[in-house]
Amino acid sequence: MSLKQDFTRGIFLENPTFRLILGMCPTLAVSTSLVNAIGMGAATTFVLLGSNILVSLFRKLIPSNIRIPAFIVIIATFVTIVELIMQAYFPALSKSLGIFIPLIVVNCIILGRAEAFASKNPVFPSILDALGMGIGFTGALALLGSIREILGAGTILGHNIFGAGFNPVAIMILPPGAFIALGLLLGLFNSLSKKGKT
Amino acid sequence: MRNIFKLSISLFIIAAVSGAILGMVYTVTKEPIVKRIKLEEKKALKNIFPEATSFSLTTGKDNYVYYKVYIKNKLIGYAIDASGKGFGGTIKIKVGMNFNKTIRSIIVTNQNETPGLGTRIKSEKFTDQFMNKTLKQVLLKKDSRKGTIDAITGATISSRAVSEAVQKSITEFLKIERK
Repeated sequence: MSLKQDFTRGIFLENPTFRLILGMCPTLAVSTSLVNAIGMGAATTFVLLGSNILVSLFRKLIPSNIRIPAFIVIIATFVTIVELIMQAYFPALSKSLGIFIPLIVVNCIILGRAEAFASKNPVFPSILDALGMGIGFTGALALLGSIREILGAGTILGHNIFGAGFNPVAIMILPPGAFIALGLLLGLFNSLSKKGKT
Repeated sequence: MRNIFKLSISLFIIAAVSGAILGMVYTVTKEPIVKRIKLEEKKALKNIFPEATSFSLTTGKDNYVYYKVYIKNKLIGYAIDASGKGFGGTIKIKVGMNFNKTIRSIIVTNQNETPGLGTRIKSEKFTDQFMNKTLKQVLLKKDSRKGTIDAITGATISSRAVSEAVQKSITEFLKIERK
């Protein structure tokens, strides 16, 4: 597995949202607008980086039987650090992401990569893996967030793009719209990848 | 037996180091967080009473806390807190009160409502409706004949939460201050 593959894998072939189907809860809940999606993606990527680096650094020291609680302690510590820093220096973002910041701890992407990759690979590939997965996740969130914001509120990044006459499809901003948009995107990417294989 | 001991030590070390690092980050961010909260509070108060020169935190009966608003030494009004359960959590509002029991204006300081719908309670188009209103007028038009507030289309719960929170806070304030 080349280093380049370690990085690009998370963006396309094994995109955590559209291919691995991980982290669905924050994906559905925080993709209500593009700015929220990017903020959440950035915070998750930061935690992913930190946890992958640490887990990889200590992979030979952490006894196998307690690796899961050890990973969780490491991840939870990082998330709390992100939360405190956000509250101190980025309060607007902290307010809009709200409870979903602490919920990054149980985001399966992070525990998943720690267990599937970082605990079995050296630090540099783990960094690439974290960056690739983080970018893939942020991209997926941004795509979903843009669609939901444009259709559901008629804005992008808060700016009106359709003018006063546009009647937004409110359901796109609500949970059912999240499932619908995500389902359609999953179907689209599945069919695209099938075409690529033939 | 030795194996369990080794496992426990490992986990203990991991948890202890994490705890220590967290303690450090907490100490470093504690002050900025407190400063942020104070800054946002000031901003909200200045939004309602832009001409004020000072706000004095006062504790009334039953430990009710509110602000007396001054220009130099002259009392010009009050600022009270309102909060209520919205669609997506607690909504916090600052309400500015005039002497004649009418609202000066309100500002929504904290909310977690649905973006594009419930979040419109922050807009001036919605909150301006509360200016110069009395206690009874603060209800939604659809909730009371005396109500004068138009709810936001598609965000009735959020609108109602604001209206009821404001009403509750004014009632509480008038009881405490007996003006």
